[in-house]
Amino acid sequence: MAYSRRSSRTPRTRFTLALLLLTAVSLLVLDLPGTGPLDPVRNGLSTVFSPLRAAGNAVFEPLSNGWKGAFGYDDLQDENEKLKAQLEERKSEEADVKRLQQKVADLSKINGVTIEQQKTKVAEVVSGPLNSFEQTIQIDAGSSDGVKKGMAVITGRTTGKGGAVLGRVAEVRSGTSTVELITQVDLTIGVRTQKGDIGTATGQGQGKPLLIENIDEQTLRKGDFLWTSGIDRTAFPGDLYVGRITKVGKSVDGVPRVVEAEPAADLTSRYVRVVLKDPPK
Amino acid sequence: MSWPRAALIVVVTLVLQVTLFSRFSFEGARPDLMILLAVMAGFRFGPERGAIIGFAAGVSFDIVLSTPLGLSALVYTIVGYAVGVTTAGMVRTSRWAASAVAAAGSAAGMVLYALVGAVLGEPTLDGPSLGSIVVLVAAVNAVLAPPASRALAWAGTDERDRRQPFLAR
Repeated sequence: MAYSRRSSRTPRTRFTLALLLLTAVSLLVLDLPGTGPLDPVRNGLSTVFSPLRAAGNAVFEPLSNGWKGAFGYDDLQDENEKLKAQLEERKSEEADVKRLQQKVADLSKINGVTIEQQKTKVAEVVSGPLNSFEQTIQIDAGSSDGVKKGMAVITGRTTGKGGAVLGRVAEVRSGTSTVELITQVDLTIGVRTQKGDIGTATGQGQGKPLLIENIDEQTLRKGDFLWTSGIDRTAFPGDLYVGRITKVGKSVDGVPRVVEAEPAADLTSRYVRVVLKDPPK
Repeated sequence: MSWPRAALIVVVTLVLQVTLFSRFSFEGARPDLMILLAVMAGFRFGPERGAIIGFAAGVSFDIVLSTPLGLSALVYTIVGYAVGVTTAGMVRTSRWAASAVAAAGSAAGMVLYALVGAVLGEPTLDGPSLGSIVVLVAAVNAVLAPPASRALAWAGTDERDRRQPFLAR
């Protein structure tokens, strides 16, 4: 096949390239984290694209399911997702018993303190990462459901207790939201151990454990449970199950020990819940 | 060059990427059809149109991604231009030429994306291994290069030579 080629490195070509690069860099500068002047434009265009996306999903979902299995796979998958969600909730019960034991001990000393209960909104994960570099998921709950940027997202599909921290709402549109996963680099949440020590858990990337910092690591043991601390100005309510410590490194010459934890949440969960607690401003 | 057709190809490719190809992953790496458009546009039409179609593919992908707006546009523009420049003197009679260029251009594009993203503070080097991303995207795009090339040929056809059948281009 022979193709006709018109232009090469002419002044006009260089001018076009410079114009496009300048536009791309301008978009990047305008979309710097925390500024957000392009968010309405992006959300508007994303909304325009959503019918095409919905149509594509309707056409290709059976195809992708067919890729994975045979007839009846949909039902099995749905049942499997329900069981996985229930398992996620059961997994947190053991941790919850430990936490409540500690809580009872603390409450016996202090009067008038109650455990915080939060409303949640059940949502379905409609899309995973769209390319290799993205670490977010899309859920089918948005601002019309009371979801706000910064709210905590946990696994599970019931309205009761249970589930584990999956991530945080990063972007909100009218009917959908983007969720940053707990493993995302720079996503830090306040955590507390069963002994009551408070620290932070920071994501280190997809497939990697959480890094536990700002905590008295002398008291930590492998297998200890972690919950959200819920201290003032944190985006997460307290007492949400985060995970278990998997590694407590050795201290060398006074350098703090490396402490890592495995997130309890199944990051591939199909059903999640948004904790409807206003994030701090 | 029919720009409405080129725009249609970009939109259809975006729908395919978002609703079909992003569902499949290997070790966390996912196919990337949008960079294939940039590479094949540079290969077929030269650096100028390669850069323009690369920019259009990138900015449309940016709208649905959670990464900063303009990151894909910047990288895909450079890729479209660079492929156009480097393949300017290439003999195009081989049936494997398009696939080879698609694989090499896509691999280079993924590395560039990861590096530019890291410079901008994005966690592009903290997810799946760059090696697996490069191998997967290059392999998938090598396979899809011939149909992508034919689709772009349809967009590159002027009204005057529309009589030529689609599959013969």
